[in-house]
Amino acid sequence: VTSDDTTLVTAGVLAEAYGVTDEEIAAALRSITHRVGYPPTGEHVHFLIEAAVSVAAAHVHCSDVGCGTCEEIADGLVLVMALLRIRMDRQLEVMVDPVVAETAGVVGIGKVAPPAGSLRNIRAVHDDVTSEIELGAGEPRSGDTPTEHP
Amino acid sequence: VDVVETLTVTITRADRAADHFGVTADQVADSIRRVHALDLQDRTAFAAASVLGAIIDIATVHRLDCRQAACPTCLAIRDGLAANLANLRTLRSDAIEQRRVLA
Repeated sequence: VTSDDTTLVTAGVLAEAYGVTDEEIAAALRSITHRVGYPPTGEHVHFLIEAAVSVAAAHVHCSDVGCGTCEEIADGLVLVMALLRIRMDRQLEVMVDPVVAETAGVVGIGKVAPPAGSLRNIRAVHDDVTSEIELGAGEPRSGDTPTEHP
Repeated sequence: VDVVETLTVTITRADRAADHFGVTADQVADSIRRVHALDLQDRTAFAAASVLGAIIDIATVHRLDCRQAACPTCLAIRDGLAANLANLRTLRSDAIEQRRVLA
């Protein structure tokens, strides 16, 4: 028995408790493999991250003091945020490669220093303004100039 | 699949939820340091196992707490468990196939 087997059993018991059907699991599997292919990669992890974020979003209106679900969600979000930041950093590193950047139509890429306490600090800019990617509500501060590619 | 675009959408949603649930930048930074200590292959395995574990932990606690008939959290957990099982079965099939090839 591996840790994967144990997790599978636990997830299976919970899925039954929550009324998840085999058809729903098969549909999720089809959707995942259709979108990101096979064998499993980091993209499969992303589906799990999306699922965890959706649970948090669904529970966001909870007003129970000392809610156990809220505590578990907060713990999960610490991990989710860390993994997302690492994945985005790696992806941006790849895009900084001049050849990759040119192919992708990226004209500038860099990090914008976040306001104190903010978790939002990544920004990439494509030549098509509509595809600009910004991970925060704040505008870049003076001196936060993205690195331009030639 | 546009990886950056997908990540951006999820990070924006996760960021809002993290703010709401009181996740601090320090907690995220600690977690990032732990993951950075792993090599690239281990990071994917760690990420998959950890997120699976987080969803299962939430489901376990919420199952005991929830008294609502049409609870949106339960619905999201159901979807999460379906994705969870689909991924686990995929990963297990892959591991079995890998063992078969190596044998």
